[in-house]
Amino acid sequence: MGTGLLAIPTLAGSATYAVSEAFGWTEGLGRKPREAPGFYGVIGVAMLVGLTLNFVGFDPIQALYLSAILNGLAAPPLVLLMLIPVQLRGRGETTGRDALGRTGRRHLPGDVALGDRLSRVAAERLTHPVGGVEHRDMHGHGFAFRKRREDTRCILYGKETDMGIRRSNLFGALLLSLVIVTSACTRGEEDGNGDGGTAQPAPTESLLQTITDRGVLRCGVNNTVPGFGFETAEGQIEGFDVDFCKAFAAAMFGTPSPEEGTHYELIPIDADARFNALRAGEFDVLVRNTTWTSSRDGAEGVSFAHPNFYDGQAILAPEDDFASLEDLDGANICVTTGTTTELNLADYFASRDLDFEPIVLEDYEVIFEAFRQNRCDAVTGDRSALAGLLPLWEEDVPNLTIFEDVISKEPLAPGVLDGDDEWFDVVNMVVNGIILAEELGVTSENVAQEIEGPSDPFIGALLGVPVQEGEELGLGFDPGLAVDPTFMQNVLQAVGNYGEIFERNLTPLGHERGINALWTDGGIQYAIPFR
Amino acid sequence: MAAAANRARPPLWRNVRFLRILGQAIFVLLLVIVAREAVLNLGFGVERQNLDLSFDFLRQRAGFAIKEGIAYSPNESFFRAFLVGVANTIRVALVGIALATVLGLVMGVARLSTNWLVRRIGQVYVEIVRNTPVLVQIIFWYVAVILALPVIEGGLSLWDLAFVSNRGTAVAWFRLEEGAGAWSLFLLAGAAVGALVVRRRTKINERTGRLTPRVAWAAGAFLVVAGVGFLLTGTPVAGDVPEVGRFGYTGGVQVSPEYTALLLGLVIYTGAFIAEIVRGSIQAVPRGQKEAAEALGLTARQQLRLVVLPQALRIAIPPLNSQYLNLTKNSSLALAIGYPEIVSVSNTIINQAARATQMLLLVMATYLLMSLTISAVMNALNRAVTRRGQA
Repeated sequence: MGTGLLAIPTLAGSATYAVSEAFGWTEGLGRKPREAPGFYGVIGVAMLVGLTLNFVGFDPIQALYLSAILNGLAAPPLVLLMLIPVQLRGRGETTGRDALGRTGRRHLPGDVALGDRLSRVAAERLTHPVGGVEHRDMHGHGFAFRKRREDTRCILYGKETDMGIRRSNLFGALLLSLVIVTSACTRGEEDGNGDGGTAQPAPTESLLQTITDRGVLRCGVNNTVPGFGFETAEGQIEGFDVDFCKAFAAAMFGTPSPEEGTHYELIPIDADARFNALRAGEFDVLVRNTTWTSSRDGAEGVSFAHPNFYDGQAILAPEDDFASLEDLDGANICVTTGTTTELNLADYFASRDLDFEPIVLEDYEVIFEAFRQNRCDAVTGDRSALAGLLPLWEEDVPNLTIFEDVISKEPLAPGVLDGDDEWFDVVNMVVNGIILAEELGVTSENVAQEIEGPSDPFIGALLGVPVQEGEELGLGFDPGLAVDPTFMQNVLQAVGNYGEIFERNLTPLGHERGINALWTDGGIQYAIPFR
Repeated sequence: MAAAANRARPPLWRNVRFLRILGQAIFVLLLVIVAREAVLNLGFGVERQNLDLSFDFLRQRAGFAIKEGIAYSPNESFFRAFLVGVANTIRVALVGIALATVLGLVMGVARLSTNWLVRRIGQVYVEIVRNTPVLVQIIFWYVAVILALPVIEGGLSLWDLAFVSNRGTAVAWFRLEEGAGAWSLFLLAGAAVGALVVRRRTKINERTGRLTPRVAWAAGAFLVVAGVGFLLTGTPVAGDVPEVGRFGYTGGVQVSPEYTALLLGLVIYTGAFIAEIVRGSIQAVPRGQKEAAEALGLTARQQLRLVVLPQALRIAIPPLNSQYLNLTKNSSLALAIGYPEIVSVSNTIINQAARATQMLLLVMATYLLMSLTISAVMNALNRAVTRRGQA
């Protein structure tokens, strides 16, 4: 579109100039219409013709195409006529006025004379000029056909000396090439429309492929919540979510020990920046106690796998001061910025006609500082996070308790960016596989044994182990995911099943299985079958 | 064009005019290419992530509470929440600019004092504050000072009229009741009377040469009129004494601890820069001025007040402008301590509505508007005091 709009004045202008010169009319956009009726008449007629073509049904794109072809065919001879004559060698002399208006016979250096004569001939044949007129070709180069009594001269503007013509030629050639190059660029843009021009690669390579090629899985994790993602004194980040990251790495790269060869990289990220970082590609999967909500699925553009922890929002406060939630009417409550907790708290308190003042701080470290100094009376957040922090905080603020009230549901799930279904399926099925392993009783200890000989076909399907059919070894179950069908073998050897991960990270902090127990044990963890 | 060719001109590659135009053309071309790539990149990114770029989401229900500012409830729109943030920023920026200027003036003069101790104090203050990051300073004031204030039950109190704790500061103020409108008319009348008294006193002074305390006379007249009006309109002012509640103060004029910490951090930080500007501009006043003032018999204080400072502050206005802009923009660091100004509120909005691009554009536009306003005022001031002719 842009190219077209730019082209209209130049094209229309050049056509009218050409016609006016051919017939010797007064011309020039500097003239008033009254002075140059023919000139402006041609512009008007051209516009009308163009309009009619549109309504008549003549395809304008086709017309453009054809005119471009004609242009291309006509251009070389014209350019040749301009450039080549100057390069030809030959001697000669000439009369007539030069660019400085001087007359008289003088020598033209050899390389101009023949060309000069040729161009003179060409000019006469081509135009029939009567007075001094100017002509611009479609690239805006100016050259004058100036017919004096003596002769016709083809002069590139301002330079009629021998050296001058060559220099102007260079300039002209430069301009010409610049124009051709930029128009080629724009044409390229039209072809690759919507792909973002020439600088961006088209997003055809899937994230899964990128991860495989890279050899390292990058996970966004928390480093401030004990149990889920917490930086130890040695500087290592450990936790429930971290184990899931290891599981994804084990599945992707087919290794039971992804630490060796560092197949995974943990990137701590705070609540504010996590979705932007995911969208920007700073990491491939977000396992950072992130709540699955509809707006995050939608507007944020995140796809959530099977929740690995069903949580709820709760409030932590000193036991001695507050017996129940109602006592917090009008209190100052610390919340973390960038989380679902801000909204939920406002809604929950409003529905119970309670009032509160939110103190919005960036992470649990600053919140603890404010809480410790009694800037806020209570802290709200995911129950799992608060339960993890409570033992730490009780060293400074004794007798803390977490109220039973569930402010909101917080299903925590690993998230990947929308758009790569294969990668999403892998993440989703790894989580399911881990839960299924606990349902089927496969642990990191007995998995080696089960690989040798599965106790039942379900376990065999989970592990992708070929089942003995009489004498022959049948094929192992292959769900068609983008990883090796034996991926659960590596996952279970690396991190174990759901119960083991839970016990390793959360039970020591006092978390009970609660609703995170298996559905057969009264909880709601329910795996998708592997078949 | 052919006629122009008749004039003698240097060849193209030596033609300065041509080269200049060529240089500009190339620069413009490069600029256009870079801008085009940037815009295309944005479009590409938006398309890839399926973002929409409309501002309609601002009408959605906000759903989150903001702890201080103009009247607002979680049921209002995102845009209203944003306006609360803007109001809070303006609140801290205006007060901060005023206080920082005062502090900077004092410390700048202190650095030039003849008293060794005063000079040293000024120097130490400026060097320490200028060379540490402002975010660190703000967090320091919040965590180390404000939070460390006594808790509300054990808070400090000044004759039970003013209270300070780490839940905020509350000061008794007056509350306007019925008749306040009428009283304000009396106040205006009092101001007019005061102005007249000043004029009369000035005329007497000029005629007789006797010095009379004009301000005291004017103040007296004003108070008389105001007092009469006060009684006549039925004492329309009641005291609003803050009460110490369980979670905070009720009543009186309150200032939250986050506001205090931010203000302290910004004022002290910007004050150091302003001190240097003031010092520099005082030193830029020609020495002859000071010497002439001394020769006239003015005391040091009078020299400063009547001769040096008026000239110095005139010079100082443009750099002061930049410092004010810095203060306004540095207020965005309040995100770290939970004061709900523009960036903090926008952050929450981005997290709830996920439209980072639009919100960031809105935030930038708002800061641009505020900065341009401050600059416009300062430039007008500058134009008003610029001396024509010799400095």
